[in-house]
Amino acid sequence: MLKDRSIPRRPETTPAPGRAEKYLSGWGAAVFFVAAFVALWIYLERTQLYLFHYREQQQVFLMDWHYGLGLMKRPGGFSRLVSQFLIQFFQVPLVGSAVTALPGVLSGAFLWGICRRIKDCVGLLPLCMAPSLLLLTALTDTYLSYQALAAFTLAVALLWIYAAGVSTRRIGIRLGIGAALTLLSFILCGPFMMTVVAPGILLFDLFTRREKAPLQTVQLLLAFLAGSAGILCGLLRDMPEAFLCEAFYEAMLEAPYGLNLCWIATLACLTVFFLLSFIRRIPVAAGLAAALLLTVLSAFLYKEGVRKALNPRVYATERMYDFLCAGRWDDILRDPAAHYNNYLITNIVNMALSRKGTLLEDLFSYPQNGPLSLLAADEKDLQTIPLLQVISQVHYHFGNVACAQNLGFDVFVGRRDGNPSMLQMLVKTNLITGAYGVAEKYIARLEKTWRYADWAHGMRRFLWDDAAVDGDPELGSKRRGLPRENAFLFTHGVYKEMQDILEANPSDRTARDYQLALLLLMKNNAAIRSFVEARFGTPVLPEVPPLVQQALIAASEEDLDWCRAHGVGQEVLDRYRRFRERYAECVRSRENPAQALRREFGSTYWYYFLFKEFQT
Amino acid sequence: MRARWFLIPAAWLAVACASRAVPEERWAQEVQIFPDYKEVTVPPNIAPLDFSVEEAGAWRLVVEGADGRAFGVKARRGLFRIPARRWRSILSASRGGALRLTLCRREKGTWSALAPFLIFVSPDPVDSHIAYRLIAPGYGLWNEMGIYQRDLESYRQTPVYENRLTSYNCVNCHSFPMQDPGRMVFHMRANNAGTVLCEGDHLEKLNTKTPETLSALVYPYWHPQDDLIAFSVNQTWQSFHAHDANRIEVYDGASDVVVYDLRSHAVFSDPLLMSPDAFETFPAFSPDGKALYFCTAPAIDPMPEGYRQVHYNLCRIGFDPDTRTFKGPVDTLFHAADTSSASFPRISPDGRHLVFTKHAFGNFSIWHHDADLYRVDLSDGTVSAMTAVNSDDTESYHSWSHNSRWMVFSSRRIDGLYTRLYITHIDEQGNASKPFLLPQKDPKRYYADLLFSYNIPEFITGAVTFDRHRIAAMMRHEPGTDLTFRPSDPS
Repeated sequence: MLKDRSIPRRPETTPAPGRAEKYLSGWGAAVFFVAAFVALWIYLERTQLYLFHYREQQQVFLMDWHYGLGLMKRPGGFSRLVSQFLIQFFQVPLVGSAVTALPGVLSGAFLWGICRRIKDCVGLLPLCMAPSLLLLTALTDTYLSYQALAAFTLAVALLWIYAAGVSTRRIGIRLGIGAALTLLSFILCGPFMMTVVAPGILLFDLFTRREKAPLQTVQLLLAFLAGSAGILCGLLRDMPEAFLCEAFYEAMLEAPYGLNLCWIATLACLTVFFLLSFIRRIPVAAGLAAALLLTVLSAFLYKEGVRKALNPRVYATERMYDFLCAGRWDDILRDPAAHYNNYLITNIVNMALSRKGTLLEDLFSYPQNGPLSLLAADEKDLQTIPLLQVISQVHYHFGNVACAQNLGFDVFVGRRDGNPSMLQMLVKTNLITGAYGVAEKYIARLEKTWRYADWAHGMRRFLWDDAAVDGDPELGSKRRGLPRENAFLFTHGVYKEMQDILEANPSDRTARDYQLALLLLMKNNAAIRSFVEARFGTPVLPEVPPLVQQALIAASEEDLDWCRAHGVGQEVLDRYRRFRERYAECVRSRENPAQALRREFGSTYWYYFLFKEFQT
Repeated sequence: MRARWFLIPAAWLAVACASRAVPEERWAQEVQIFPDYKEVTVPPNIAPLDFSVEEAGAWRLVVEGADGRAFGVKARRGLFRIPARRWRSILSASRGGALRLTLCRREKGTWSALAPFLIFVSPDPVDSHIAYRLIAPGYGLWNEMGIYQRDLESYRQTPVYENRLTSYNCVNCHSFPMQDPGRMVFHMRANNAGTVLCEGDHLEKLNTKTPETLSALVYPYWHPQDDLIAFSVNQTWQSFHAHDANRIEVYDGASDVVVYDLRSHAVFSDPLLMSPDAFETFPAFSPDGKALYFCTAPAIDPMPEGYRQVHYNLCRIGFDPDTRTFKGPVDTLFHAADTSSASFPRISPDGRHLVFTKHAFGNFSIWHHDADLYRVDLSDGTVSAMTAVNSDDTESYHSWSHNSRWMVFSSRRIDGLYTRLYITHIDEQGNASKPFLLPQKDPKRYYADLLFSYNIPEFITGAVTFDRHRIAAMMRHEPGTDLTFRPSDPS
């Protein structure tokens, strides 16, 4: 480290630290930060794994120089590049949590490296983790870009470089290198130039009583000029984007207040260490006790903060979406959230049932609330991306290719950095419709990614080759399901669209199951009866699925012979008799039938038909 | 010019030697290049036409000017980056002539020359800039979009306005009077909605919906001399095809044509342009300002069921700018019958040609793969397809340069979805040359990576310099001026 030539490092009243204090603030701190890293890593992996996976789905990062340079065009672009580069590996086990914990702890270590130069007080060491923990708490909101963490770590690192390497130099050098670091921080970390680096340099010089320290106000002026120039050049939108953490938040939404706590805490941390410098000497034992207390307190507050910030229902949808993208159908059905009464989740659960081939057996084993449980919306004016990215997959699953493509495209372009699953969807839907030029464009893009390159390359065999598409089990089946007669989507309702798909491709069991499931959820007994009457015994409906048998009885209770003739088994008829008897008992005993019958008949169509009320 | 060609073999040999690629063989074989710049006509002030060869290998290019001067370029990964200074110099020397480009390939240590191709250099310069919107080619959700300008003499693209400044709203329909970058109008929809009028330092926010008109103002066209802008007002919807060659259909349920008087803040029209029995849209003033061209179709009810029965004719009505009145009768320049439809009439500034987009039905041609450009010779009214510029895919929006010799148009010929810009030379007789794709530094990579479509390309004679932050502040904070509707004179 550079020697101070003219200015004492600390007030003369403050005695030099003893050997134990030196040992503690060096090796002791190292041990603390390693332990903090391991603890944070484990905690994040256990509590936020699917947030990391979800983040991976919020971008399509290209391993391409031009793409990287494009990201760097705006202030703070380097941190955006770094964060996007790292996020592409977030589906790899342990990587998301490690890559989040590491900068979190590193920024704490850098801050400690700065603060100990103001006052070497190991008792306040855990305080240096506070800013990054606040930021990590804010990062549970996926609308906050991960870039914030990379930028913050870089900003504190730059400030540490100043404190460790430059601060003891003469004022001219300090001003010059401080200015260089301030401007560099504009490129590397964007708004943290104004909130961490520039004020940090000024405060550090003031708090360490450097020669002509107030002159470092020039760094703030420089930061203001750089930010203003960025606005005037069109690189930045406005002052909040230039100077505050709002820059890292989804621009179309209002940023929550807590975003800026990280830099406020950083400056507060410097101030606390400065105030402590007025205390002549702190006993080692007291310091250790304070450190222990602060560690426990920080960990508790962080955990509580995350608990409050991370809505379990939102996290569940993110987890289920991850399972959906990965095709983990069993995990979806086993997950406790599968029983949440939430349209987005029921859409995923029902799709998993369909994938497992048990949609018309187990539909009512999970909460259902009318037709929206199968398909959360069929209107194009949907604007919510988390919902769109699920229902586009559902549409694709039952063969509504045009709708899947439209919604998938909306998600892909609605997110600033894209969505890889939606891009895959666009590849497939364009191959199905024979739009090979567009499919090739998207394939080329995915080929530049780390995770999807092989998949994309494999799709090249379908380009300009109709026979290959026709022969593929997935693409060929969807192509055969394209409606024979064109119509506008959403005009005649989703049931008609399902009907058109099934008419075009009668062997498509998925389309058939979805059509019947929709009728069940709509409680449309007459339509179910007509459907079976028209198709029973044909390749479309060689056998009647269990829940449809139940619906047939409900539709034709007075004509059980008709039911038997149309595929209703004796076992189902016997069960219906029991259901009726139990219902009659409940009425006689003035018991609430909905409660009394739930255990035995809660997963039947009859129970849903009688007791479930829903909004259409 | 032909007499100079004898110089070329010698010059070519000299340059090839200088670039250490001494061709030992000549092939008749051709190689595909992207973009296809073979036999195109370019203005003398265009940026270098960088291109890539589609085949792997070691490649060199020899560019020879009409005056016999030449230079060589070495390909890097198949891409020829033509030095800007040499390009400008050789273009300048070749005005009215042609450049001869010879590709040379090394195989087994031997250089071979392929059959050369020509790039014709017109003596007519092109306007220095094109303004366009960049938008993802979908109409549900969007994120970033903006209006940009491209300096045609370099590759520089700068923003005119980006929606980042106003909460990612929709910005659209930019328009300039007679390619003048000093006056512009465009709309914002959704957040901070309104119409932006920019004239020098004067910015104005307009609230353009009046009780008497169907909607806020939509498709603009400036009067060439007076402070007037013709607009359509449209009740527009879009629908998505379940299974069709076209993905999206955008259609009107009703539409009219009006004119906005900038000074009185009043909108006026004529019963002939506001008929309840017809859809009128896409207005365009003649260069002398004494006629208004527009597209009109008999109203179809119900919509959207009848969307395929909507066929727009191309019509013209007289206009007196002094009295602000229209004079009938309405002439029909192109009768669409039941088989076609016209959109986007654009008249050359010299008043000799009108180019419009023709497609099977409807008015939103960008989503119609069959859309092509057609020309009307305004001296005799003959209508002909512009076969030199049309492709198997969509050709749609187009605009003229200030000198009437160049036209920029949008086309989806590369991949069928992402709209790109092509520029074609139009001679005095109205003949179009083979168009060339808007040059880029590395066009193959640039266009492959670009996930935006070019929309509404407009030639302008210089750079737009309006302060976009002032525009944003105005749109965010000012209430704007409400327009009034001035009924037409019953006489």
